[in-house]
Amino acid sequence: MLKKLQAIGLCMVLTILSGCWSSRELTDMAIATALGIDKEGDRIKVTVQVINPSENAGQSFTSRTAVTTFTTTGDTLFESLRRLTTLTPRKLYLSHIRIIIFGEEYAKQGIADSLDFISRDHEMRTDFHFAIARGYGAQDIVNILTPIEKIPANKIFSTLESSQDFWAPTKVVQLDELISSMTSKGKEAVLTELLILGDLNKGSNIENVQSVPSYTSIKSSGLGVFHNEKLVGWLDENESRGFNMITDNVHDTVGVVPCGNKGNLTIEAYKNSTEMKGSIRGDTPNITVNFTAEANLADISCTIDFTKQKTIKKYEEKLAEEAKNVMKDSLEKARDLEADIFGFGELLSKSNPKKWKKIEEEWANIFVNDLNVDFKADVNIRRTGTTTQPFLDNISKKKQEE
Amino acid sequence: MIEKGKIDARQFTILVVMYTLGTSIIAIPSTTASYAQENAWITVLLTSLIGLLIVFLLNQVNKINHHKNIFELFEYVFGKWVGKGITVFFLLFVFIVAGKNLRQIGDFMTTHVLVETPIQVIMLIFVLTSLYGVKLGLEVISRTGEIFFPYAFFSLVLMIIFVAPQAEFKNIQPIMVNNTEGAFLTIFPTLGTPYFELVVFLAILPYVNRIGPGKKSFYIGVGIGSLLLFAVTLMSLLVLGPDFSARNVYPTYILGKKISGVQFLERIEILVAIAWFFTIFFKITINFYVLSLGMSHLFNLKTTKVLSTPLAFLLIIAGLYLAPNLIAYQNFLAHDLAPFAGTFGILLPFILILTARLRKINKKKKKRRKNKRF
Repeated sequence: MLKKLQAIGLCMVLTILSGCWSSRELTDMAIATALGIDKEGDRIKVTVQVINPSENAGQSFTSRTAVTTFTTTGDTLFESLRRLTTLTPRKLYLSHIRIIIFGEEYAKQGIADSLDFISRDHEMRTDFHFAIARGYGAQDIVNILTPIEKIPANKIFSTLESSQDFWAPTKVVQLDELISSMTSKGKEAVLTELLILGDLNKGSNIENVQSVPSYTSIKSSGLGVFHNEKLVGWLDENESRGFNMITDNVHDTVGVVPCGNKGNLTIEAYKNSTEMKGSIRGDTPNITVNFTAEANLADISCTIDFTKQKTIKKYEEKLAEEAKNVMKDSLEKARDLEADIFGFGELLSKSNPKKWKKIEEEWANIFVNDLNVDFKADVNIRRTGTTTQPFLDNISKKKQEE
Repeated sequence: MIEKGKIDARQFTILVVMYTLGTSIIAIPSTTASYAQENAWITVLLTSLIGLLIVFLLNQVNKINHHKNIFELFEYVFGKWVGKGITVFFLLFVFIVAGKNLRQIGDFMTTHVLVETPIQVIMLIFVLTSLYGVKLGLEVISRTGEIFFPYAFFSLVLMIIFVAPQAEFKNIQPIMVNNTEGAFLTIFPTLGTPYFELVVFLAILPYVNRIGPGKKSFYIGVGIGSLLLFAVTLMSLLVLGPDFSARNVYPTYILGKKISGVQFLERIEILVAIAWFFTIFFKITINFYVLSLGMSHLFNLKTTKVLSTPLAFLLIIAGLYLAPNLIAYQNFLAHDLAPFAGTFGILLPFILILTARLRKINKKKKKRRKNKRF
């Protein structure tokens, strides 16, 4: 009897254990890859880029686009996202978001109100990137189709990562870093800008990916500077590189200096590191930024003799000087914008916590006027690529002989 | 004796490690960092040292009589009726702790993993599994512990290794300059879970087959558990920063979400959840077991099995009614639990030892007098 009861009990358990409580199959989900957030009056306008599954997985593709976008407005981000269900065929699934884009106007008014939802919602992870649409609304960027990468969000994601790694004018910023630099007293946030090149209206059409040069493309080459939660200005490409050099965020970059009578010398700096030290002597805060790079010769378009150590030394110094200038420009721009994006204040608060408390309140003022920043740079040329002496020299000699 | 099983010292160590980690592992960075900020790791370090002192105290209690569990000790030391009275209060304490653990796993699951599932279902599934364990007895619980311990242990260690490349040392600088008061003030609430709750092991310690290694393994268990708590707190501070650790309800899980680097090793935060499921399962089971053991002593029953089934359902109710919402629950953990648990985890053992000393001295004196007479 007991055995029978047990068997019946087990069978009943089986009916419950057959699946998850609130399981949702892949076919019931709309997988979001990018979010664009804009302001429309007092309300928040959200644009979501959703994967069109049949165009991304499967044997035969039709002429439909790989992604679709939906736009709606609401008083808060969450409200607008839920209102999207009136437009989308399925409920949005946010765990696969790769990038969140803020429109310029929205960023100028402050992005904090949407960050709370992003950090509170359980579907949101922390591994996506943030960017600002410069000169456009976020909606415009989210709507653009891109070649090579079928899903535009993936294109932006990998553009940001590869340009940070090989050229260094952009910075990949994730949620935890963004929030902590907004709340920290001695640091301001930066976010990468996204630009639209070409004709905006053609970008959302499938023809954009059907022609060899796309009509419209998305470019990222600079940083937006925040003061607290508000966007206050922009760093151009070089200033952004300076920023990355100061904050030790350069993985691999390129340096160019003029050489000889005419022409340029280009190096690939492949091992970069920056050490920042802060101290407060008396009442004046001091920061030393020490940048070191190891480089290879990459591209020489002038006629100089590279077999001599002297020449190498000379250009190492020139390159170091150039690096210093880039960093200085970046600092000047940050001072103009009154935003301590380098985290100098945070550095001082770690190295001299007691003295920092005294100057904490006036930090914005001190950063612009009194802070003394010393830049040091050291570039070492290690190898010359696969060749040694440039052949341009021989060509010019030949010309002279003729 | 109601429990006839015997466990060995290694099994006891594993139970203690599981108990120390359960509940704490996922919440400790948040509770400590909210007051101590960048010094939270120091708080955890100091707390675990005090934790070892608590183990010393508990071992002293056990010394009164090696063969008696805590409920028998109550009656042995305080006499039958006072002892039974104290047993009632002690059981109430264990009951609330077990309900609290059940609530915690429910809250975690409904926040992060199974959002739409009712909390009652999750609690029911957990408590039924524990009930099965309790019915099978201490020996089975301990052997299950041996099986699951490696999973829990290694998934935590793996997580710590995987997030280590993202650690930034500047997150915990300056060390002990700001928030120093916070670092010391947080020690007390942190002691509440798990160190004050370790007192329930006094009900299990007598069943360890050899008493000397049993005591040693108590230290080792708390040591290993504390070390992991410390490592996870430190990593959470180094990787997420004190501010982000404090703001998240379950920072350890967020830490798991940060694992990425090698491309295929992404989205494995469930590692953390698995480690936590196992540890908290044993925490609930041990509390539940001690609860039903105590009940049997209280009512002079011959086995622990009779009352365990109704208790299981009461535990769910206790968990649900403990707090109306997460904020109230967190406040309960931060402010009320430590003094409550401390009463039973520190004060009661002290009183036990003191009373035992006083009465034993009297007995010895009596004996001597008797000897003289003869």
